[in-house]
Amino acid sequence: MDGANFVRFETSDSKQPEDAHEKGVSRWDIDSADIHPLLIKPKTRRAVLTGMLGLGIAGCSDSGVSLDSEPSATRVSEPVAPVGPTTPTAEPTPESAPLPPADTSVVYADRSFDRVSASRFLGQAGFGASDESIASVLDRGYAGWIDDQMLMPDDANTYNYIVDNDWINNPVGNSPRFEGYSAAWMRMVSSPDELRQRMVAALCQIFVFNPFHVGQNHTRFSGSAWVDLISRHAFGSYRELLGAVTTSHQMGMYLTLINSRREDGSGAMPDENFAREVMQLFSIGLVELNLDGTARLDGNGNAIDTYGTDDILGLARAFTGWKSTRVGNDNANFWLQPMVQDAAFHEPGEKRFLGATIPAGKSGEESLQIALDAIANHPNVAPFIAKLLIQRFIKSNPSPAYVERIATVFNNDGGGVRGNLAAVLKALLLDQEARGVPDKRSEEQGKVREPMISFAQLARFANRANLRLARDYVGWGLIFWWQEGFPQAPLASPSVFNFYPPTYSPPGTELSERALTAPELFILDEPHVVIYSNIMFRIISSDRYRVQTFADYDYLMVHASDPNGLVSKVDELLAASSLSAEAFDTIVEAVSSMSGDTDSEKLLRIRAAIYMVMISPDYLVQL
Amino acid sequence: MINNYPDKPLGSAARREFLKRTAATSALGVAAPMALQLSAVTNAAAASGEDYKALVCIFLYGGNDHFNTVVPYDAVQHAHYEKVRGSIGTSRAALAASKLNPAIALEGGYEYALSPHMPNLLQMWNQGRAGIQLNVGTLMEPTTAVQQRNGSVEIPPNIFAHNLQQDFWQRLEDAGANSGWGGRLADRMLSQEDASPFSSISIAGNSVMMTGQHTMVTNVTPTGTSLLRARSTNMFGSAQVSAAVEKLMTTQSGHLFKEAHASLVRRSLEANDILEDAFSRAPALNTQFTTAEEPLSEQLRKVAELISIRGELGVKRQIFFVGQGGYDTHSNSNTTHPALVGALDTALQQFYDATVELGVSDKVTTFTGSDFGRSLSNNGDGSDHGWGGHQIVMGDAVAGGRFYGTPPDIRDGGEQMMSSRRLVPSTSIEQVGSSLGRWFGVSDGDLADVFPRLDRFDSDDLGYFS
Repeated sequence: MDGANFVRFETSDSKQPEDAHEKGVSRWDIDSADIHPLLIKPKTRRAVLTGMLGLGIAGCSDSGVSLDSEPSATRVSEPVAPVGPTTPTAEPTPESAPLPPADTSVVYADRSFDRVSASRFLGQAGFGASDESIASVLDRGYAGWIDDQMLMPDDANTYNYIVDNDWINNPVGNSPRFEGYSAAWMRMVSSPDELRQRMVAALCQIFVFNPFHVGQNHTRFSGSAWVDLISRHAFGSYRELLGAVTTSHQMGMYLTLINSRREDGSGAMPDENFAREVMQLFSIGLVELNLDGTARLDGNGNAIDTYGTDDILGLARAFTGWKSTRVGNDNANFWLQPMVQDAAFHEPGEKRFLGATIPAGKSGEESLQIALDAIANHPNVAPFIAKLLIQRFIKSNPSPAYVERIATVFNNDGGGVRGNLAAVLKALLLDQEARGVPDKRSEEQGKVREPMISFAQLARFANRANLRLARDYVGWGLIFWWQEGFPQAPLASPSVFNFYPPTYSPPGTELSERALTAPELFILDEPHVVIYSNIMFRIISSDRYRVQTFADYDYLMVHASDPNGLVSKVDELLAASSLSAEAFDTIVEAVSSMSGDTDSEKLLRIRAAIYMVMISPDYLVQL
Repeated sequence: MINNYPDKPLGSAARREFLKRTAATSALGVAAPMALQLSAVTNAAAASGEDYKALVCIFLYGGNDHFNTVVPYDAVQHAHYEKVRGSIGTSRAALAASKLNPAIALEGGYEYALSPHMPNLLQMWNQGRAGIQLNVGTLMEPTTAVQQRNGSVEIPPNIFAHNLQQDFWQRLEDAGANSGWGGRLADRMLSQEDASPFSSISIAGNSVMMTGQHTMVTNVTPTGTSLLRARSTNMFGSAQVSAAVEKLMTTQSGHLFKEAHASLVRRSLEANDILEDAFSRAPALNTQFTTAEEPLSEQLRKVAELISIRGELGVKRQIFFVGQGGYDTHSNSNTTHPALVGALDTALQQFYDATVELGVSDKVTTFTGSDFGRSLSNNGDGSDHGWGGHQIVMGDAVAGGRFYGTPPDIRDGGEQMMSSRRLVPSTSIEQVGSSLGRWFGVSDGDLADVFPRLDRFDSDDLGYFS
């Protein structure tokens, strides 16, 4: 893999600063006049880093795994094989069930649609459109494009990339503390398998792990190995993903499962943290659900709890005995390996939870498999996971019928397989509620785009000719998130509860009046809608921030003399031609007012058009 | 520093025009929530420091380990504490210097010591400026451990889940209702002339606590609001582009998501205009905050700065929300928890000092809240989620050096002690809120509206204020 274009920071020395904002970020030669004093400062981000929702820096140095020292790492010669389809999945198309019959007025599985529909699809499923990707969708159809994407080789060999490119001595952000985020950014902005990268971004918001919270010298290893783990399972089995997550060193440390021991008479109890969150956040949620995602109610009209304290205690006992494989302090490769059992610390007695029983005498490995089977087979999992995935890709407020259709595929992919994530993803992208022509007036339609997805879209948009060059944007993503308050970065959730609650509805708006959710507006509050627009200006208006970055807009130059054509093109590719007539005219008028004679003037017009589209509510809300 | 905005701050004429414009649209209801509250800003000139009160909520995200913050000290309770806590407990000897000596001893021989890592709070306790609320939490009705176990009383939903307990604590209403008790207290001031968009301010991002039925929270970052770059720069060398950008971002739309986004931008720009103007006319704050290391200190400095412009803003009642994260100390708590409460202690002192500088130390009451308390049990090197816990109340209006509420017997079989060694609260958050709300100036009748279950508890005033 060619990393020459990636690490291009102007480091004056190769020593690693111990503290990012004292020695790293502060010498990033930022023109101080160019930073507005009201923007968030580096220190401020600590409030986010330490976890406003509470699961902050849960130190692990007393957990038997010392992460204090500077590790080394070696290339892993045999990368773990990807999990997932090696042939196209059984197509959950209307022709082949399990999807219900399609609304015949909505044609979505064939090729009778136009460029705008293709662009809209590419914005939902990937990181926006290009002429090439639109052509691909028009040629292969939606389902064909999905199949092609799923068959692309997994680009996530991030851990080895970091070792190969010596991030150990040349960290991209001048500090090891944030390199886990850099690794995730890198995949998001530059990997060609964009459907997988979107799925990774979505799954990382369900199975939340933040590398910063488990050992700050290790983030580039823990974070890159985590991205690789999620990526490997992105089109695989939910149950296998849950198992890999549970036994990973990352989750073991993040939710303090590692070194949780059986009750031994000393008074110490098994750690309940993972037992609680694996049910609340990774699988079944707090209340019993119907297949369509609505709450089941008891005879009195009340929701029914999925579990109680006894279930937590039983599950915590089942999860005891896991410890690190790490030997010594000098190699980080343990992040790629699962934890292992220490029988002396596993609870040998009977364990009960969720109606399941683990008989006395089962080993720690056996207990874990029984426990995860019980969780993964709970009827809540299908609607719970289906709705969260729909919210990340398609819309904030899916109809119960939509959730039910996707949950049905989760329960059975048509071939008798439960939890086939590839089939689930394909079904939710092809569903009539995703593919139907959006009614722009419908209050239930669409979602606010995630800021980090927009950032990745821009990086890719500016490097269509050579996607790998988009890696240059990694440094920007990192510093803008850290220093200036860009609202979101991959793997940077403040807690295991993700960046935003799935039920958030902004107060004082008609959305909340109508009990509609808009989760992304939790992080896009009043300051951050403005900060977002300011930072996007910094990126789009300049070729150089701290890192030398090139935006290649040659492919748009042909339109630059024609403001109407230029805005049409940018609108089509970035926003699926969703600009209102009024917004379109406003942008065309502004672009027309700029000179467009020389190449540099034309480039300014192009950048202005891109910027104005990307700060318009018509773009910011994906329909 | 906040005045470096290159554009000229709104002059008085422009400001009047802005206020006139927003007042004219105030009948639009939810579409113009800020405008609804703006008319009072015109009273800025008449405002003064005399009639001013502020409540400052410091939310300790993650569930503070109250057992290691306000520690059982009497021989009986401490012996049980030490036995169960083991390696994550603190010895009596280590606590002796921070023993809390109340003016009136607690009945039953209960004694407590403060964490040794909170010397400033200890001093403020000794000076009568801070008190401790014992065993408080979310409750539907008075509840004992036996009643909780046998299900004979209603208990709040999901009492050990972080997000839902934060939500319940802040909302104290059915989940469908979209308001919190901080915002509802501010609502009760809306009919008075001291209402303003700056009645309810969060420095810690969105929290349901601060939104009322009419009151909109104004979110401010620790370094201020945010200036739209389009207003200070000819973007891409073009004034037309800059004008287009602001127009695009703020234009009203028929689509609910787009309109929500545009309205956030409009609110942001409006709030920023007003704050810019106010800060341009206010003296700088001198009290030093250790903002370099502590996000909580930085947030509280912003609160102090905002209080310093109360006259310019024309506000007489304000509620602020700040937060400190990291309290979910499942592991390594001997390292993490002392650092957290130490940072809290420093921030409390700095903020108190700032209120002295501003001459409002008896007009600002600061209190802590948290998701829940933690288990007495030790899970090896930390503790797990609990329910009831102890909290801090601070300010010169506070009758400090006292405990409020009922000390729990933490021994097995104690009336408020669950078998899994977590406290059942003996005081409700609603009682805390009503005590603070009465001092704030909310009438008894209104308090009953703000706190829907208040009448189920024996007292609506816990005696924080003499």
